Formats: sequence, structure tokens, C-alpha cells
Amino acid sequence: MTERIAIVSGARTPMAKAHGPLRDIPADDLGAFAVKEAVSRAGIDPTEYNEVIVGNVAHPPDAPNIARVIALKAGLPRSLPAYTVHRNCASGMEAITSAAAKLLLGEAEIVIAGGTESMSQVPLMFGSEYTEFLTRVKSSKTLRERLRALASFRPRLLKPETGVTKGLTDPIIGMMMGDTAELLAREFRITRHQQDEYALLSHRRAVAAREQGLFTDEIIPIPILPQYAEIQLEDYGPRRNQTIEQLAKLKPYFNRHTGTVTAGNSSPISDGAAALTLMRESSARERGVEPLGYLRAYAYAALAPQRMGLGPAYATARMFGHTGAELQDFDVIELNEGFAAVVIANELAFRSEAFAREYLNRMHALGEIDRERLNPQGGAISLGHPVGMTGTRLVLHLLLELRRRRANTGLATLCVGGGQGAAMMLEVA
Amino acid sequence: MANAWKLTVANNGTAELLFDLPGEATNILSAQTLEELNDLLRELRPRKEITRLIVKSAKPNVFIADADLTEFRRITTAAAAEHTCAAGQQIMDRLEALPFPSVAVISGACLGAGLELALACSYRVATDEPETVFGLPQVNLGILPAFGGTQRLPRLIGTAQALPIILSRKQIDAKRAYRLGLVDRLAAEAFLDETVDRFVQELGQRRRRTAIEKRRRSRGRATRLWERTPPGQRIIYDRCKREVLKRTAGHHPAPLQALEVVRRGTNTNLHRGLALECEAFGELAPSRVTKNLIQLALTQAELRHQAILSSGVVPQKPKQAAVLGAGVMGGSIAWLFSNSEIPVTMKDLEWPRIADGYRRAAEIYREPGEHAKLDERETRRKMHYITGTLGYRPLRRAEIVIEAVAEDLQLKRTVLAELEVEVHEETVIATNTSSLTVAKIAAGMRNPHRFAAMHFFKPVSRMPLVEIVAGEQTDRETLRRLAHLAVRLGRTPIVVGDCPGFLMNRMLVPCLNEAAVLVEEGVEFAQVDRVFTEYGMPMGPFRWIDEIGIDAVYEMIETLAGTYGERMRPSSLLAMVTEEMALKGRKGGKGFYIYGAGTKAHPNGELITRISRKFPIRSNLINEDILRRPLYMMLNEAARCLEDNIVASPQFLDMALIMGTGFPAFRGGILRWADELEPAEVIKTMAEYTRRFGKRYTPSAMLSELGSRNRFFYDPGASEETQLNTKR
Repeated sequence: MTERIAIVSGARTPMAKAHGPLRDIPADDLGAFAVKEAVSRAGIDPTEYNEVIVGNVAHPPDAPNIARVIALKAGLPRSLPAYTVHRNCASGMEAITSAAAKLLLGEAEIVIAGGTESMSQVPLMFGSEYTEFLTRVKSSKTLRERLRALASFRPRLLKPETGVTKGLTDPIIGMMMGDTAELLAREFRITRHQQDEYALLSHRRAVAAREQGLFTDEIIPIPILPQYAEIQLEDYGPRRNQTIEQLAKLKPYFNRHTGTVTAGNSSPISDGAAALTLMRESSARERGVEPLGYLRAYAYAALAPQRMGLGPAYATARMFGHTGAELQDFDVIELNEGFAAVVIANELAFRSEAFAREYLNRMHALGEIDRERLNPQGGAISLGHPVGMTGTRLVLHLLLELRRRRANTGLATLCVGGGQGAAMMLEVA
Repeated sequence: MANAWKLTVANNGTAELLFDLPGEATNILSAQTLEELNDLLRELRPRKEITRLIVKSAKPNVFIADADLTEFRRITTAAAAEHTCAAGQQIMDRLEALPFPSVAVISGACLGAGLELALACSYRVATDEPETVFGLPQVNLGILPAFGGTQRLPRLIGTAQALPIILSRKQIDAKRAYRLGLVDRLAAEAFLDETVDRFVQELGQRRRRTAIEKRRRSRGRATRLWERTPPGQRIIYDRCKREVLKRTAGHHPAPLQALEVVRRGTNTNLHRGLALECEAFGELAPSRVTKNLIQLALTQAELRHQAILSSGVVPQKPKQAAVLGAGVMGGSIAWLFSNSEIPVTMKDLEWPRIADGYRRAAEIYREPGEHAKLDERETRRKMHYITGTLGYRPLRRAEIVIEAVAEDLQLKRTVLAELEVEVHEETVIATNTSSLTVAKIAAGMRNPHRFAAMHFFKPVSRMPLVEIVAGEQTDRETLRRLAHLAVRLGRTPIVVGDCPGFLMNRMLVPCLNEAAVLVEEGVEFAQVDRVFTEYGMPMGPFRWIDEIGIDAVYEMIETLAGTYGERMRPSSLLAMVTEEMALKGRKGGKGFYIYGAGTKAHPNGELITRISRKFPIRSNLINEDILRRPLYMMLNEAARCLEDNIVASPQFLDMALIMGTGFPAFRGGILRWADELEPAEVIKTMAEYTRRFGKRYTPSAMLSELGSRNRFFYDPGASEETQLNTKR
């Protein structure tokens, strides 16, 4: 990157497990709440913005190009263009890096980048057989044809396919995301107990952070649609009384017989949105604004879909290759908790010399990840993982946490369904 | 003066009458424009080369808005009224009787006399733009459609469909008008000329023409057959009559007259029907009620006009507004901004209060009424204009901030001092205080020039009036921006002087308080309310107190008593209800009445027992005194407001009262009512009241003066305008 990208402001909605308190708020409304707040906090006149870029995975059928819908619902000028990006779980990061590329090319001065997801609202779908049936009925011309078409109805046609399940199943290998986590657990020999312990840690850290008010700087409380009768102040995920025993009792979700991945040590499907205001470092200096921090470098990498969980190791290695940075340079690491198995597998991969040589094209291991610096306020397992949003949230949260610690450099990285990884290097000063 | 109607005749025999009132944004039918039209119609009639006539408007968004109200106001006798009416009817008859077909091309508002003109044409083509609306609002001005509307509309679309339009201010859009057969062809504005050309061509082909007319007659055929039978008629008229009586409590003669004219007119021929219409207009037009209602409409227009035209460029729509203090009031004000698509942020100290604000705003969007037609999508989109914040930072971009925290001087001063340093220098700051003065609140401010009061009434969603109050140091620009803002929010601004309670609460408080005193003297509160609703008030004093909130009213009276003394001393009844029983009124579900979901409000039995124990006397006051005592307290205070220059004129005062409190419009306001009773009589009664009930009834200087010199609030000779409205 020729110049750093300044992150001028940011905000996110509270997150909640799908079908929880935010279930009736569509992704575009969630996004609008986050964007409005990010714009308000930036204090820049909305007419000065040049683009809105939003990451979103399960595009709602009634909000195609959701970024545009969000921009208008947020009351931004009608003259402001907007587009939506999709890189699965990294969509919220893709929005930021797309914005960065535009800013660096001089195509824009000020950009809003964000991510949004309502996994509650992913619709159920009918199968293709039912579509065919309807077409037959509609296209029949005579009464007789129509009756015959109607007679071909079978109850099984009505069996819905859940959009969420479809979206979380890799279309190339047919494995669900949880299956890929199981694969990593076996490859790296990560026991059920290790995974549950990590999940418990995530909850404890998130609960502690929530109680200390560490999320209040990033969260904008939002009214609960459609009644607007209540307001959601905090994340509805972290469980204060979570115990290891409760976690141990859960049945493996993806492989009932020999599996280790459970609903307890995976991130839940969730709802939420986040947004940032971005500009070039030089623009920030000219305007005299003090940014939350800067994006210094980023990299995406791809690997076998079956091992998508290792994406962070691949992407981080690639970014290190570009920048010459090393793991000890980073004060805080946010490594997305898609599954406890994924986090632990990456810890092992990061520290393994053999893995570095075999897969990362490096002479030496990436390094030992210090758990004290890793996801210090918990992560997706406890807080939630609205897939389109998470990338943006990690960046926002990491910068605020670095500032709290008076530290400077952070790594935000996540694994991406389909076999990719994303990594970002962020700096406060 | 340039001609309003332009006639062109094309080679193909199509004549076009284009209505374009010079120098005006809208088209209205005045005596002059009607006369002009008359001459043109006379000229057209014998011309053999003409095969059809098109009538259209040159104004965007308006076909013809209505007749000229100022002319109706001048009518003083039945004979003059009938003359005006007959002259207009004749012109419509002439239009209808042209030897070639006429087509009204309607793009925009087609109301009142404008619709009557369109009805006299053979056919109507209308655009389906949202601006194109049809209605006959005349009964709301105390008259009725007088240019044939009561006769032609029922004949065209049937009585069952016509009556709701004639009897209320209901407007229908073009699609509905098409379905009813009122409009013969819908057009897209963009292709209006093409559509009219084709329509006119079709008129030339007999088969097509019959089809057009057949379609018109086929609308609601079953109902039309039914409404021609005697039992059908009875049912329709009875139902309409019930609805009218429910709405007007029998105080408005106009809708009932109109109903009668339609009923009798449809059973006879058009000629006789028109004569009936004329006769009814003769009765209604010179009446006091009509004068009051027309005056009101004109004063309202004047107030809005003043706000818009007062020198300088029109301020732009604010890019950001803020409300200090969320909760019910803050949420209501936020709703108002969001409904006008102005981003507004609610600042409060804690999120639950902001949640209250969000909830209140959403409730208003779901209330039945004007905005209920918004669908869920629109509601959500508009709700997004509202945001919440605990910090001042988001207020930095606000161009207008309205303070709506609790009525506590110290608190208001504190938050305003905090706010002042956070917002931009240009930001206008307004307080929504109900009982403090601008001067007092402004005392601690660094920059009082940009500070004023903008007082909204409860319930904000329904009250069309906003008081705007300048302090000693408020600059003109601030006032101007607030007045413009009020208009932008769909409210009528009235600029009043700075005093505790401003104009409205200062007049209202003595009235409500005196009503409470009546109860102490042994009158049942439900009876007081009944007397007031019979007078025409939408609700009596105790229902009113329940609506505003008993605690809020009591607090307001106490504050005002601090300034005005004896005459506003809070009644001990209200003290008991507020302090001992802690009743809150409607918002708490319990006050003078009990409010439950789905049940009608009924008097609070427990409270009645408490009252009879504390005030164990029976009153022998007659209903007349029960009405007059609170109203005279209000009248006396109104006169004082005029003396103190709190309000510019009696017209404005009465208008404010009607718009701000629902004082019955047909009464014309409290001062108009006093004029009718004659001030000389009023002060006599007040002298008696002073003897019997106390010094608070001592007439104010102005009232005594008027009474002793036998003069009136609306003084003849003061100006042409008021002269026209006095009764002698």
C-alpha cells in the first residue's frame, strides 16, 4: 500500500443469536443503524462521501444491492453511489479493502465501509420441483391441462430447504462449515475438551468485557423493530453462567457419533451490522481529524475448501511476506472464532515449523500466539458471528482495544468459507 | 387586469379554454373570472365550426382550487347569497348546455367550485398523479356546494357515493374517481396531451362514445338501483345523518342542510334541485357560523403566509435537528421531524428514556388518522430519520435544537448551558417550555440571540398550532427560521409575546382551574364536561386535564399562580387529586376517568366518592353558569393577553384557541363569542360573579372599557377586514 488508510469513525449494532431479540430487523435496517451512527460520529457532512460499500452474505431477496438500500435508509444523499461485496465470512473486510483500493487509486475521498447480516431473516426456500409444479400450473392453457397439472401435486414438494443450511454448505465439496472444523480437529488432534475450554474462555472474556463496559464505545443501541417498544443495548450472546459441564453435555452437531464440534464450541448464526468511515491518511491530516487508527496492510489467500479454517495462517503469512512484519510486532490479535477448533488449529499451525515449510512457503513458523493477546474480549463463539458483519466488527473492536491498551499494532484475521483467509494489519498511530 | 381565461380554437374545430389566473400560483373562481368565463361561453355557443371544447388549467398541480372565499365573506343577506349562487349556477348550466361536448382535463387539485365546474362538463379526463384530488370541502366553511355540486355529483355517481364527498372534507384520488365514474379516462401526466387527443377522437365515433358513457353508468349499478328505492334511500340518508350528527354534535347546520338538499334534489329534476341548492345557500352563507369558519380559514392562511413571506430567502430544510430530552414529548417532536424527513437525534441521559422516545414516535405512526396510510415500509424508512445519543457530539451538526426536558428552570438552564458550547454558532435553540418564560430561561445563556421558545401542544401529532415566542434578545433571523420550520413541519406558527404560559396555557389554565373550583362547589365533574361538549368542545375540562396529564396541569397552574396570583390559585380539588391520590390521567390509565383498552372511558368512581367526602355540598348552579364561569375566566385572561400585547389581534387569538385547543370553530373563538354575547352584558354578569364567587372575576381593563362603551373585540371601523366581520 502506498499510503495508510485512516479509519475515522465506526459503530456497530448489538449482536444477537439468530431468532433472538433482533430477529425482526432486516439486514438493511441493521446496516442503516450502523451507517447512520458511523456518519454521525465522523462529523463529516454526508454530501462529502463518495461511496458506500457493504459486505453481506445472505442477500435479502427484497434488498438487492443492500448497500444502496442501507445508504438511503440511513438518510445519506441520493447522489451517493453504493455497492455490495461478498467474500463470505470476510465480506465485512472485503468492504474495507475495496474501499481502501478505491481511496488509494484516487477514485474516492471518503468512503463508508461496513458489513451487515440478518441470519434470522434468511428465507426458507422451495425446491426446484415445486417451482416446476407452479410453472406447469401457470402455463396450462385449458381447464383440463390445468386440472392435470394440479393433480401432479405431491406433499413432499412443500418441504422447504433452509437457506442458512444451504449457505453454510460448501457447494464444491458438499461439506458444511462445521464438517471442515471437524476435519481440522482430527488433523491437529484437537480434543473436545480443548474446544470446550476455549469456548468457555470466550464467554468469560466477553462477559467480563461487557460488564466493564468495554463494548459501549463501539455499540449503538438500537430500537427493536417493528414495534420500537424496546431498545437493545448490549450483545445477546455471552452467557455469564456458562460452565464447562454444560458445554460437555452437548451432542456433537455435525458428526453425531465421533465428532467434537458442538453448538457450544461453534459460533452461533447471528444478526448484526457494523460500519466505518474511511479516508486516506493524508486526507485525514489535511482535515485535521484524528482517526481511530489506520489500515497498514492486508492480504487474502486461498486454500483447499476442506481446510478453510486454516485461512488465517495462509493470509497472515502472505501479508507478512508483503510487509516484512513478524508476529511479535502485534500487540493484539483478533482471530475470528468461527469454531473453537479453527482457533486452536491456527494456534498450532502458526507455531509449527513444519506447517510453515510445507504449506506457507516460509523457512520458519509464523510464531507462538500469546493467548493473552488473542481475542481478549471473546469473539464469535460468545458474541455471535453475523457473517457479513464480522470482518468490519473485528477491525473496529481491535482498534478500540489497541487504544485502550495504549498499544499500537493489531492483527485481524479470519477464515472464509470456500477455502480462503483474510488478514489485516492495523495501527493506532 | 389580464384575462384569466384564454380561448384558442384549432383548425380541427377543437376549442380550448385555458384557466391561468394572472400572478397567482393557484386558480380560484372569483366573480370576475366567472364573469369572464360566462362571456366566453356565450361567444362559443353559436360558433358552428367548433365541434368540442377542452377546459384545462395552466397551473401545475392545480385544476381549480375553489371559489374565492373573501367574496363569500362579504355576503350579508340571503338575497345576495342566492343571487351569487344563481349567477354561478347559470354559468355552469351554460357550460353544460353547449351544443358540442366539453371535456375537463384535470391535472392537480379539483376542489369545491372547481369540481362543480368539472361536473358541468360532459366528460372528465384526469391524471393519476398524487396531486390530482377531488373533493367538495364547502360544508366545512358552513356552506354547501352552490354551483350545482349537490345535484350533479349524485346524478353522476349515485347518492351513496356522492354523499360522503359532499358532507365531509374527504378527498378522493384520481383512481378512485375513475372507479366511481366521476372520471372517464385516466392519463399519465407525461402523456396527457396524447391521451386527451385520443379521448376526443373517440368521442367522434359513436360506438366508442357509447362505450365511454356505458362504463360510467355501469359503476356500482346494484347500489344505484337500490338507492332509488324508498327503503334504500331511507337507509342511506339515515346512515349519513347519523354520521354527521356524531361528527358535529348537531352544531353545524351546513352538512344537514346539504344532506336535505341532496335528498330532495335527487327526487326531482335538475332545475328544481338547483333551486333547492340556491335556497339553502341563501340561508347558510350570511350566517354567523359561516362567517366564523371562513374567517378562520383566511386567518390560518394569513399566518402561514406571514411565516413564509417575512423578508429574505427561504431557509433551507435543516440537515439535522435535535431534541434535548427524549421521553414522550421528545419522541413526539422527533416524530414530527421524521415525518417531514428531517434527520433528528434525541439526546438524553440514559437509553431507556431514548427508548421511550422511539416508542412514542412509532406509536404515532400507527395511530389512526392522517398518517395511518403510511405502510410498514414508509414507517420504517421515516423512523430511520430518528436516532438517539447520550453525548452531545452528534448535536454538533444540528441546525436546530429543541429543548424538551422537564419543566424545571434550573435543569433547563443547566442543559442549555451545556448545549450552547457544543453546538455550532449558527444553531437555533428553542425551548418547548409550557409555563416558564423565554426571558427567565435565557438569563444564563452566553448567546440569547439565537434562542426562543417553540411551544408544541399535546398531542403533538394532532395539534396543528405552534407558539413561537421571542425573548428580549432573540433576533429576527431566529424567529424567522423557527416560523419557517413550523410550516415545514406542517404546523401553523403563531408568534406570541413572552409571559408565563405564553398565550395558550395562560388562557387555558384559568378555565381548567375554574372548572375544578365548580366541582369543589358541588357540581359533578362529568356534568361540567357534558356542558362543555354540548357547547361544542371536543372534550370537557376534566377529559382535557386527563389527556394532558393531571400532574402536568397541576404543576403548570402552580407555576402560573406564582406570576398571576389569586386568579390562577390552584384549586384544592386538583391538589387532592395530584398530591393525595397521585392520579396521572390518561397516561396512567386513571384520572377523572378510567381508561381501559377497548372500553369507553368512564368516570372514576373512587374519585367521585373521595370528592363527595371532601366537598360534601350539592350545587344548584344552572348549566349556563357552569359553562360561563370557566369560559369567562378564560375570556378575561384573553382580554389581558390583548392588553399586554401577547398576541397581535383578536383574529389571531381566536384562531390560536381553535387550532391549539379544539375550541369549536363554528363559535369563531372566545372573543367572537363574547362579542356575540356583547361585552356590556358580559361585564354585568361578571360583576355578579365577583360578588358571588370572588374577586378573580373582576373584568380586565380592556373588557370593562369595551363593556362600558358598548364596543366589541372585533371593532367596527378598525380595518376593512374586521369591519366585514362585525355583526352590525
